[in-house]
Amino acid sequence: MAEALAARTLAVRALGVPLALAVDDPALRETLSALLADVCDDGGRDGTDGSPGAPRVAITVRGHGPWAVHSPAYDARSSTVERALGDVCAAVNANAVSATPLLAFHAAVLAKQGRTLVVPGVSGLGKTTLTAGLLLRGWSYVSDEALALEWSPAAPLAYPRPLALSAWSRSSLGLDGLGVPADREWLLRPADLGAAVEHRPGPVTHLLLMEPREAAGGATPEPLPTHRSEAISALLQRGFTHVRDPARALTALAGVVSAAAVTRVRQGTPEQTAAYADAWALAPLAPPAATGGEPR
Amino acid sequence: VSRQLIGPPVEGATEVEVDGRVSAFSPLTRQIVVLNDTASDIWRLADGEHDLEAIVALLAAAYSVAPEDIEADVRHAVDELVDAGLLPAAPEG
Repeated sequence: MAEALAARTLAVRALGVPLALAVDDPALRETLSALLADVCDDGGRDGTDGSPGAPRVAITVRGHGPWAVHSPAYDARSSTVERALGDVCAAVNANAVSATPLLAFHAAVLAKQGRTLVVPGVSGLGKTTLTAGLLLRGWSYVSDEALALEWSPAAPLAYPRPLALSAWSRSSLGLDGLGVPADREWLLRPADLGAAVEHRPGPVTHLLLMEPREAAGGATPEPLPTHRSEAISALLQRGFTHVRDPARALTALAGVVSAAAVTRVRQGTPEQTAAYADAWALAPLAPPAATGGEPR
Repeated sequence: VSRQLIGPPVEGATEVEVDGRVSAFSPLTRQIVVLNDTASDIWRLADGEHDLEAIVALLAAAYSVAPEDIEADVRHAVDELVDAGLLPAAPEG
């Protein structure tokens, strides 16, 4: 009995949370196993200690169509396999965000040549599209969902869940034909784009604040004036867990922002925006500012 | 102009500064507020040793403007810092 359960269970670690994903349907399980390979639990690859004794949050997927997804933070009944895939990924994310011990903000995180780029943003802003565009330009994937910190300005932890691209984004980046369909989105691993996962990125060096592209906007991204403290606002507005200890979160955030270059940009086309972000984040670093970061 | 001293910040307030702008957490409201340049200057002067008139005078000199041109804005900013739970409310009466 226990062996049968283990055989249909995928061990996942997301935002430091150990999850046990029990899936009845072998075909669905096989697809999920491939999609979630970058967050499979191999005992702390994401940079957390692995907590081998920690109880796993259980996500169960019953049935062979329709599928019933049940978990502490997310329940759904899916009538199509595409919807089931989307619901399982949503359940992984919801339970990770709900139970994470980390200081987490909604943001994309990428790494290249010793630089760690963070792009805060709500869903629909173009964060994942920019992430995919940067992966195509040789960046490594850390996350398209969360900047995850151990409540300090030190290096973020990886949460390399599958990217979920809309049909428009996929097409805009010339990626038609790639990915697994999932409820109006396509799920891709960075490997599908020829990119690697960076499980141990360095501390944040760049923060890019994105503004939506205007309806009649040009193809070229437009840099906008900004102040580094606006990055604190941008991240706080998209915080998952800072309310647990706001004072500590503020101190950690100020440390991150004080050590990073910050820019704000109005998006152009996905390709041009990725080219802009790539060039900006790889440019020679200015000396760190003299102010900032220390609580009074 | 009130002679009431402004500040100091409420006990337990946490403050950080990035490039001259202050962000502060209030333990009363459990909110974090990111201040602009002017509000950051007011915050730094809200140390319990200056009243509103003194703060207005110092800022007017720093910004090279007439005190009467900024008094209403400074008063409003102080009220907002009080509402945010960062500065203690003036005692009744």
